[in-house]
Amino acid sequence: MVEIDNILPLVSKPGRYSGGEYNICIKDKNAVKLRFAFCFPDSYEIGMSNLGMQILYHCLNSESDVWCERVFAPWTDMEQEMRKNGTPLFAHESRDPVKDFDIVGFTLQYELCYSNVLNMLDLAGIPIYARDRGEECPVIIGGGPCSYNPEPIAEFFDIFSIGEGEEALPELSRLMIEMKENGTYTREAFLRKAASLGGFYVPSLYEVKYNENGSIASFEPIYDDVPAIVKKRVISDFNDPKFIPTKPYMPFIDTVQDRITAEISRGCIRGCRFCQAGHVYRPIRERDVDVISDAAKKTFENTGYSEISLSCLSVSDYTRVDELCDTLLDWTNEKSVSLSLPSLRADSFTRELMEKSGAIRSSGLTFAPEAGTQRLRDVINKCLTEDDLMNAVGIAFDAQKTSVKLYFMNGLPTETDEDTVGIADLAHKVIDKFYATPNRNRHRQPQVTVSVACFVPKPFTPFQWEAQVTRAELERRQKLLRDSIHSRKIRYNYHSADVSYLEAVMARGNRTLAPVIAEAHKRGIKFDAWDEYFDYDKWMECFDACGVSTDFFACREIPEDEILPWDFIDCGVSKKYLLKERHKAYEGKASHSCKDGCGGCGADKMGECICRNQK
Amino acid sequence: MSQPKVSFKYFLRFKKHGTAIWISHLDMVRTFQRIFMRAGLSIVFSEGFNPHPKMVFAVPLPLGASSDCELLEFRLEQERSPDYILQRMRGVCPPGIEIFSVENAERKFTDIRYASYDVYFSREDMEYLPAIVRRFNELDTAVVMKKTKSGEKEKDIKPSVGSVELTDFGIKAVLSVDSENFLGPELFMTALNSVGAQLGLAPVKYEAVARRKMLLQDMKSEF
Repeated sequence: MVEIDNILPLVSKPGRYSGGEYNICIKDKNAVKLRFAFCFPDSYEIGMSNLGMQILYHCLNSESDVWCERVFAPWTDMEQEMRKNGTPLFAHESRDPVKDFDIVGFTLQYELCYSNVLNMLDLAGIPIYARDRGEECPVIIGGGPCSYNPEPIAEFFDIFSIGEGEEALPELSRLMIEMKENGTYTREAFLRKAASLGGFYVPSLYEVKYNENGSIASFEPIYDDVPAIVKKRVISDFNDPKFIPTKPYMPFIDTVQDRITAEISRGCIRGCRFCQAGHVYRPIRERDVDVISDAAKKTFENTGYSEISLSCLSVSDYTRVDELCDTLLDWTNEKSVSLSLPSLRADSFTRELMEKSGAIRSSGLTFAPEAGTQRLRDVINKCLTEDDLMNAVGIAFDAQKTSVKLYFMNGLPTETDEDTVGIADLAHKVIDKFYATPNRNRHRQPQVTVSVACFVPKPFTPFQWEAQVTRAELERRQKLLRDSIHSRKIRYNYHSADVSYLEAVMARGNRTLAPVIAEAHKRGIKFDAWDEYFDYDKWMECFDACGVSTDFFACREIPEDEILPWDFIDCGVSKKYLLKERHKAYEGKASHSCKDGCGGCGADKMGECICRNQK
Repeated sequence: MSQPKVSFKYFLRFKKHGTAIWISHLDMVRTFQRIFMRAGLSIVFSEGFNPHPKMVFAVPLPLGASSDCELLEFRLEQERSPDYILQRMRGVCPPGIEIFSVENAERKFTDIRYASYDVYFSREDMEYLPAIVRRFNELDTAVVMKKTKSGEKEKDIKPSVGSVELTDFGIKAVLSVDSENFLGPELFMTALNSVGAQLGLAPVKYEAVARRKMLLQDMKSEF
């Protein structure tokens, strides 16, 4: 156990490190057979808000002889004190050093956390490169959205868990326990066995060869018993209550999400062509109304939270959304628990839904048209019309709402200046709609917030081959949009092109990025997801120092026959389908949703999918 | 305007120690709100657009300090026996928050005028304490800079000090908790250290501080 009581008074928000939160899992460390350190490579507040970590903590701790604990990236003031005192990275439940654990898992939620992963390993006293780790080191495993292209960080990890971890991580733990008990455990033997367990990728067991231009020439397993294709894991039964945490740990300090999060579905019926989540989380599964309500009620009793937030990619696409809300409201009203429905789509937005959700109390609503013109919305398959949006904001304005937030993207494939200016036009039309609503709020001015992200081509999307437009061009389009907004009732925010550029490099990178990320760590880069720490120039110096081209990964259109770094992963959705969708995009044709008939993406081979009902 | 609801007022006494000493005042309000919810007790909320639970902690406790004698006043919508409330709440508290009694609120927190603190020091700092404490007790005034809304202000904290005694672990101090003359352990330490500085001593720093008792005007009777 490390001593931190002496440094807690010296740092901001000591509640980030003190532990002792309600509902955490405490076990006798001498009575368990395996200790799992689950690391979130960002601040405590972000990590404690993550549902995936909550679920896997629950699933691992359901194994009586496994003890899973939480680890977060200490904020910079805490890190400074820890390094000064020689305090290693520790787990929050036991305050034992992470180095003493059997398995150390990192959840990789966004590319900009990679520098933090290395910093945490370093702070733990664990060699950052997998090849430098000895028998006494824990096994380092990664998972989460970024593991759909783990290649840039492949050399830092021993294993990646691909897909859903609820069953996979306990299985991996059981394998280690078994091998340690029967005396067959060595690092090498374990990794080799893990590779054939299904859903686990062991980077050291594959050899990558490159062409002269830097593209991949071949990607092969080194041994015959190592699978060439790693198939992602999907849980056996999305309705099984054993996968739903009903005693979630609760932070004392203020965090981003501090409420009951009820997961209602996985996957998305829409298939927006830029969206990774919409593809890799397929097959599309909806949890039963009763299962959701029972779990939420138990969670309420175990926590005392006064708010429930429904979680999925698109709440209004949940087939029985009205029945679900009514079932929940039946008991939540009585307990004074409020219900909030984020991610509502403008084309399925109704007054009833708005009234059922906590949105009735807030002054605004959020919609995501993503593109400014119908042409471009068809290209990206965001099947939302201007009429849909006007109808939705009309409902909101009629219900006395005065503010609307609209999400868009800049730099989408085929985007022209007309599309960019179209974003401003749409925002102006929303303002006009406010004044055209007879029953509008007469006491307040309308406000439209236009928030524009930059397109980042992501693996396993129909746009995975697309080039990102250059930073200079993105900045020109951002300025064009700014100059096209003429109303002071429109607020305009946009993401930094620098950040999106680095994201694109990492998202489509390969193993040649490892030395660059290691160099970035060496130069003290960390917390890249935080504006106050992100340092573009410093990153570019690292790429230069290692002689690695960033444009090659971000701004190059990848030929369709080139081997992609992530081709060895089978995420369910086939490459053939992604290509078909890409070609449809260039024809300006949208695809129908999975509820209107199966689109043939291939994910249904992995388990029950909503499209089965349509076949 | 809706009629003010009938409500029932109680005190609860609790200890705060271990990891819970790092829960700030604001977070304590939320923590207790959830303890009440888990216990199935309906606390009364204020009216208005942003209702907040009607809860009052007797005396603020600095972050990082432990306490044997915290007091919370709250209102319930239903009348419940103190015993019932205690039983319901006991099993649903986070570690380090230990509720040991509930009673009907018949007195007022304003009766609490002083609190007694045990302040713990390292062996090295202990050597300097006798001289500092002796000098401090001889002084008629002890002026420190106090942060206020409009910058810093000089303040004589001597009238806020009930007593300061040396012990084998450090210092036992009785300090005022009156709203006018409130003196927390941190500002008290600043005053001690400025006395130390006059004696040519380096500043001392406490390792831990624990509030032991809430006291009435006579500095002897416990609330």
